[in-house]
Amino acid sequence: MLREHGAALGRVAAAYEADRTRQEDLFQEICLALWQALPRFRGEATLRTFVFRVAHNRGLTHRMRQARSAPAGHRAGSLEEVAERPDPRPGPDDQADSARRRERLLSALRALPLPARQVLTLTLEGLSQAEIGEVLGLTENHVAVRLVRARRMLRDRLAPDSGGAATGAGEDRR
Amino acid sequence: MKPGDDRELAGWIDTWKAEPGPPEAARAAILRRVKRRSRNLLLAVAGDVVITIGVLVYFVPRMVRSGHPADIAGATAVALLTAVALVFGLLNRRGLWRPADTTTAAFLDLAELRCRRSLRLVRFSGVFLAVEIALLAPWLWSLIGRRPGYRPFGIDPWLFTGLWFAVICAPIVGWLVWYGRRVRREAAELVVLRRALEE
Repeated sequence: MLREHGAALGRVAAAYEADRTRQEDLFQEICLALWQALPRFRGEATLRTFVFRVAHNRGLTHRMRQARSAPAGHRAGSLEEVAERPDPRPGPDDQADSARRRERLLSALRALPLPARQVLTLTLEGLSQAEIGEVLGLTENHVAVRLVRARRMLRDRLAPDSGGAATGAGEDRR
Repeated sequence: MKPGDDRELAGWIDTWKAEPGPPEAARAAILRRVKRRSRNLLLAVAGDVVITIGVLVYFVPRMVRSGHPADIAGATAVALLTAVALVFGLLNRRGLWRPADTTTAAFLDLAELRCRRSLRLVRFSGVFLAVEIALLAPWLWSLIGRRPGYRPFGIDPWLFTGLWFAVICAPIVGWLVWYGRRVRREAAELVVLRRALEE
């Protein structure tokens, strides 16, 4: 399971958490949730859909926990106001071009509202709109509408004149 | 539209999938966590069983054997409270162990149900504690009254009983207040999350 889906699960964790240490922690939590849920897998959905459902649900739990544990001054009673911690890894300038592009895309994704982020990360993993609907509990039409909107937002954030995505300092709207 | 139908999306997919997977070290950490969690689950279940058996098999029969009406009443109260706590625990956990592989929408429903059940647990625990004290305090006082000259740790037995209840109750009440606040905060976050996902 880890060999087949480990990389995808790591990317889901990266979409929900910028801090590398907490990202690994989230990845482990996702794997644990899978370990607990796997005996109940009855094949009603594909294994891939099953895996992404568990992963995104753990991601949501992670967001809630993060909002809950944020200092009162930062929480201000709302999940939207919890800021992402900066990634402690070396800056994009020190990395290769592909790594810089990857980091830019990840930063832009993390800055998107949660519905857009979910639908895009699943699309980027190669899931069809029907599969995304199965993961998120939406109709295909709803997924299509969300995807169009999410792509437009991502395109805007990746545009050269959009400072937020380039620096990764964008507001996480969730 | 399938992924890869257009160049923009294909480019994003290439970039996205170039994200390296988790380090090998993570696998060992996951195995450690799995073992730790299995052990903790086992310890939690074993703890519940040991306490229940301890109360029902050791404590209650001892009280009944004494033959004193107050002891028999106390034993009945302990047995009843244990049964009520067990039944409540079972009912309150019903439907919460569904796997996490439901859709996001169903998962949020489940998370809300968990919050409601947790709040119910907090309310039940508060009432349970009050009833427990109301039933056990008279029995303890009767026990002390039957032992003239009894001075535990050299202090007045009535004062000792009061202090004993305070020492037991203070952390429980503190935990209930803290846990209740935490669950309410989680419920508020869930509302925000649901709103964000439905926009």
